[in-house]
Amino acid sequence: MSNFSISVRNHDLATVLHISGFLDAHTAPQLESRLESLIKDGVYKLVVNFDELDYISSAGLGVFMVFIEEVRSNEGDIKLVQMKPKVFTVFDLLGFPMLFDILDNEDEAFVRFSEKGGSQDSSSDAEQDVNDSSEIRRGPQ
Amino acid sequence: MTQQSIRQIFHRPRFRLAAFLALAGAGILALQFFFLAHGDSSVRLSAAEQIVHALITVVTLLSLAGLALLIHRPETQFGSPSETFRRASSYSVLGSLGILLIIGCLSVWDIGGQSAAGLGTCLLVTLLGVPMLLLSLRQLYWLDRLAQLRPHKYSRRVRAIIFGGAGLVMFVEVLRSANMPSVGTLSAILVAVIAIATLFSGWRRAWLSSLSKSEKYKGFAVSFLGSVLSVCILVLLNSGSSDAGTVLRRVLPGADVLTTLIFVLVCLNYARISIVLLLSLPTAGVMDRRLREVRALATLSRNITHVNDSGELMRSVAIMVRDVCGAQAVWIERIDQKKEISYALGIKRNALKRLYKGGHLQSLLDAEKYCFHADDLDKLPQLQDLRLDSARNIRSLMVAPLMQDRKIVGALFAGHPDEFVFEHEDVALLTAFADTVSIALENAWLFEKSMKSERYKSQMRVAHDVQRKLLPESVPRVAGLDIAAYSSPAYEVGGDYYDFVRLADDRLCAVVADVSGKGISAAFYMAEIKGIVLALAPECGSPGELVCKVNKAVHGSMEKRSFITMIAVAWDPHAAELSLVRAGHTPLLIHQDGRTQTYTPKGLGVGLVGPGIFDSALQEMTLDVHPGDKVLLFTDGVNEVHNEDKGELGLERLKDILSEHDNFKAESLLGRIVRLVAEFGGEVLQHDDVTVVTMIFGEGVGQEANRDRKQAEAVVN
Repeated sequence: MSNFSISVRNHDLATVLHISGFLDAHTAPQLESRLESLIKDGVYKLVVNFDELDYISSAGLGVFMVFIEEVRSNEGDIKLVQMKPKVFTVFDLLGFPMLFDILDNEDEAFVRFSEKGGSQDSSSDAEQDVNDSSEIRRGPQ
Repeated sequence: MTQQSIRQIFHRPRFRLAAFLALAGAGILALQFFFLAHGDSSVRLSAAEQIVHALITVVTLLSLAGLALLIHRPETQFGSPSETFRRASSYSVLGSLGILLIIGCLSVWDIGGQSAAGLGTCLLVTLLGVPMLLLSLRQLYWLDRLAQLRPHKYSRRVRAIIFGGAGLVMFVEVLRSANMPSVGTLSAILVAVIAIATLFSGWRRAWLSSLSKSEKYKGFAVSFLGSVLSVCILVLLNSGSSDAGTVLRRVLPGADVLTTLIFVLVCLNYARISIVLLLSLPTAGVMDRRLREVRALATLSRNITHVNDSGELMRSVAIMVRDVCGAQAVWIERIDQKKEISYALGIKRNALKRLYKGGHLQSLLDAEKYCFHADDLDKLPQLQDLRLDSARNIRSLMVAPLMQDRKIVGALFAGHPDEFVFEHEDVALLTAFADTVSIALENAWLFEKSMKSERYKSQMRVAHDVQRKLLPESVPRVAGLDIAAYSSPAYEVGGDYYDFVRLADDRLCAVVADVSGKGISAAFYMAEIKGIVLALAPECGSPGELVCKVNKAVHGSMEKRSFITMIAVAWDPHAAELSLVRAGHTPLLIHQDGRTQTYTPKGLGVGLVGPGIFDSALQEMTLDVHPGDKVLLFTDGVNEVHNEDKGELGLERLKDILSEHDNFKAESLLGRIVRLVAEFGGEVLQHDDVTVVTMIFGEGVGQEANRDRKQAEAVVN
């Protein structure tokens, strides 16, 4: 059932999480706890590689929303790269491209990080809005 | 018929015995008359005396027969051997005392000495002699009962020898009284033979060991007294100085020898019983204990199969341990999930809390591996805190673990305020108890657990029914538009929602929403969304405004990882237009002009971001609709339904169905889609909530908008 795995690789500019398999309501907690422990250790520049991810459900999408605010308020970001078309469709339907940098490969992500914080490349108004952390999730805390 | 019933009555043992006694009595009486009249007896009676004497004897014999009827009762009347023994031995003592009293009376009045003259003396002799004989015979009865307590294969023969022998002795004595003294030796031999026979008759005395300690002490005292008293009677009967023998002989010839015989038997019997009891006295305590152990374990085994209530079970276990091990305080601690004292007997729970802090005793158990036993807690330095806190409640202590699957899940404790109370047997027994109790408690605990899950299930069923009611009971019936809807949660409750509401401008608006995640939390959000949608719709002029207001309402109050996707379409029959907004939801499929199209206007999921981004990102589309156009709204449970071989259902198959579908019934289109989803999923368990709404526009959309609108109002409201 648990055909989902994460491998973490450190890069000069960011930490890369390679996820593979199925990311759904059952496996999402694995990713969530992994991200949580990384962020607790002060890792705020994260790249998630979707190369080997076959399926993502709405619960899987929710995981990225949990941390994005905290990461961005610490001048970091979560960048999503190398999605299969099917996985991208799910992100796209939900409007995630407006909230996250969804890029073709890791190098692009590193370039974005090297360009200062990842919020400089804003090509659209919507994206600028997203990166204004005050607009995202005015949660109770 | 009558003959048969008479025969049946006659075949009953007590009637046979009564008849036998009556016949024997009649025979003896006849003999007595014969020999009294013609023999050379030392006693000479007048005719009147003879008649009175004979009458009294007849009454005596009749009462004997009656007595036989009374005493020959079914075995079931008597309870345990100990009860029978108690009654028999106490009767032996009382009967013997009665006979001694009569003998005393005889010697006081010196009746036997007077040479039997006078009617009064004759009467007195009979009145005292008959009870004496009856008391003796009653002794014989109780002896027989004792012998029958535990019969063996020879007991019938032995019984025949005793009773037959007694009859023979009587006969011989009658002959002797008829001046045939030579047969006296014969009766002595007979008495000896019977005495030996009775020794064999009662060898089975195993039941004596089943008596409790106190019963043994009492039994020994009573049977010793009984044998001493019977020796006294024997001496008095057969010594020349006493007249008891003479008096008995005058009541019935041979009665004195019969009484002697009976008391020889009584003496032998009770002497033997008292010796057996005396020998078993030192082990009486141990025997008692064993008996209690056996009974306790038997009760426990019974409880294991019948008691499902763990509290009740622990109570009976604690009582047994207290009684059998002689503990004063017994308690059971459970340490598998919640560390708590499950049951305490003979000690207050507060005292126990003081007695050990935080599973101290359990660590002892771990160290000792199996069983812990302390004779005097005062002398154990490692139990210092235990001792100090105990308020001197417990000094002797035993602990046995409750094991399940080789893991310690609890412990059974037995304590006593005195030191050196528990023996090694107690520890062994406590361990045996603990082993048995583990199984029983496991059963009881499992039962309680299954009760809990049963309760959970029934609550989930209620939740399911409640959620069912949150969805529309029926679809609105609007002229020019045929609607059908279906929703099914993957589990008992789900996060899918659909509804049909009227906007401020009276447009009919269909809403389909899907809360991320599944189960209970999704169900709560679903209910919340319904409330918000119903409350806001009448104030909103467009589906876009409705969705934006919903987002504003829920943003910030949801969990970060949760969000809701929504799609809303409002139909304006007047303008023949559909207004469509999509907040992260699956696209709208529409079949018009011979082809099926997918509409995916921009929009973020509800609850992800605040109104600033959300509202600006949300794009509202307007579509023209014509009669015959088919619209499909659904949640991702439809297009993402999985199949091991074929993968995901996908949008294409849904589009195909829309294209192929050839009638204008929304219900039939819905049925096809639901069937497709079910067939595609096949054997695989439905793993996401499925919701489908189909809308088919009918004739007259646009031109007859006003009329339709009025009809729609009439129908919907």
